[in-house]
Amino acid sequence: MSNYFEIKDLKVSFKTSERVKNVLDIDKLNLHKGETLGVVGESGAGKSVLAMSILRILPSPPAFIENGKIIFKGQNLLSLKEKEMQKIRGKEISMIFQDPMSTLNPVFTVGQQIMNVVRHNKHLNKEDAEKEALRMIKLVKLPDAKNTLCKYPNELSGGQRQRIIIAIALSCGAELLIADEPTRNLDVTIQAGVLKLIDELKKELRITVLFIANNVNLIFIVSDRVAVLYRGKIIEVGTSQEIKREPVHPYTRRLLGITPVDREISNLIEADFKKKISSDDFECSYFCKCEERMEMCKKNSPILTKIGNTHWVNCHRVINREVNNESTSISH
Amino acid sequence: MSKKSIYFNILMKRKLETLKEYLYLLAQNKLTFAALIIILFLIIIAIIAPIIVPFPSHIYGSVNPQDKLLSPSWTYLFGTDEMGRDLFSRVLYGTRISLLGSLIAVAMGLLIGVPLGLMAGFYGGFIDEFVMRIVDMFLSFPPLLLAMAIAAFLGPSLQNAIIALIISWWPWYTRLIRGQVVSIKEREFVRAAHAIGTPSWQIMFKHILPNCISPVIVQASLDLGGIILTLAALSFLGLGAQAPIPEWGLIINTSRTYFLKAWWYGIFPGMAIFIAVLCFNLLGDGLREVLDPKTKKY
Repeated sequence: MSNYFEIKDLKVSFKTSERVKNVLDIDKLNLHKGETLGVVGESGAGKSVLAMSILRILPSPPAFIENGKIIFKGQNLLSLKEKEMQKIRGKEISMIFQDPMSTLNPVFTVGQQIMNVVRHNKHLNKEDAEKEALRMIKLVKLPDAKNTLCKYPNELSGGQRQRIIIAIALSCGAELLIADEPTRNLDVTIQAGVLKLIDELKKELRITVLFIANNVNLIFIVSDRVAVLYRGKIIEVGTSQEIKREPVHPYTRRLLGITPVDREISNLIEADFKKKISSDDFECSYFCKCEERMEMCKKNSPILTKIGNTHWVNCHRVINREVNNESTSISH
Repeated sequence: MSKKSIYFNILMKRKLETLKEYLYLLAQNKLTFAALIIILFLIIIAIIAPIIVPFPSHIYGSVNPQDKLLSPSWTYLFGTDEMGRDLFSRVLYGTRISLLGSLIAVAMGLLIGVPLGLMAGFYGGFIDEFVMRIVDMFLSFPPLLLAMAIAAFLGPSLQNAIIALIISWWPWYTRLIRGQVVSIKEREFVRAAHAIGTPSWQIMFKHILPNCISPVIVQASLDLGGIILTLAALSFLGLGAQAPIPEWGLIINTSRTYFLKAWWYGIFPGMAIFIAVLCFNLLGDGLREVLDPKTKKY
């Protein structure tokens, strides 16, 4: 089951007039059928780029995929023709976007939009499409389905809109749902509702979810496994429990707010910052802010290494510690 | 009653409400409302002109030397011309020619300009460059001058004048709509539509076009007036309609000779042009106010 969905050596770069900037560099990331994988990271870590490169909807002149494979059900999505990809989008893999306020077309009613998608993709006639739309609206638990169908997006609240968007995204029978910060502009109670809905739909329709957010706590609520993204690299992957209880990468620890600040090192980091040393100069992308950095982090790029059954991490210090532990345990 | 009819009833009711609201907003502005009424009146006249004109035979041929250059009277409301034809009949019938001509020109201009602009904005790259450079070429001539040159090249007739107007007008729509498309294209809902596998043509016509059509509607309604004026200008210069077609510009042209003797000859067709153009301009402004959310007054 491990090869249901797999990303291998994916490298995405943006080309500007000055230089080529690598924004995403993923060695290995896989999704098991039926699970929810949470991807967490700060703004600019490349979360949305990851989502968009899976569906190949990155705006192509600045962005280009250098190399890599995205394997979905044995097919490499990156080698498919645009026409074949068109059949994957919506029908196999679907996506929910960040901002529910602007993801719906303002000039059509909600019903027209759902029916439009359904009619086109399932080749239904008007009457069946309408039934299908009603079913979808009931599926996302909106009350008064018939009246909702006739409403324009501006007459709905953010939470309602996000539910409609989920309905549209799932209306063509997608089995992998990419949720790109679906709760970003919603307030906390509505967030909870939307999260609960996604979770319920996941069980009901047996779909796989790639959940992207920059809020760690949200991620822990919804996901089975968590991948932490930092500057385009996956630095730690593990089950929610593992990441929550025993995060090992210094960045993850800081993200969860459990790292005591070491004065000496933080002064050092500040000095680096003043000297305008950028992380691009070092192999480890977290070098500049790392409080546990070592000499070797400057020159050797760490590799995502297995440290537990399901736990992978990308840090020299942690990896070395693990190796030492193992060697000491052997010598005993 | 099936489910279908219930849903469609609600939808139709809502659409009707929206239409009513727009009409209400249009009517809020007294000038626009008056313009709308006059335009409706002109359209009705244009449709039923052959029935209501008092002297149908005077529209084209018919020479009545005994009645030539009579001043306005109850028989001849607008007076008569140098061939003794009733000017009221001719000006009334001219409504039909001017409105139809400008409608055809604007419709064809939209038909050519809008898809091209949509394509240029949506696909970008080479197509964009290619289309927009052609547009730039057309736009670097004053529209009247270009229309004159084309009409002169094609030979003077009403059809050729309209063709000339179409050729010199479509680039305006292309440029207008391309600018809109480029901005709408980057909106989230377009990307979302793309992400769930909506084909390009559907994104273009269902998602982008309806969202950028309102400035085009405004421009088209303003152009209806502008084209009436330009068509009259072409006829006035002898490049458009030829005698004996009762085109307003042409009537004014022939009236020049009798300008001092018969004031009514040029004044009435001139008034007709004035009213038609003014009303379309007022309507265009009114539409802009209603359709552009930035100027909307609630």
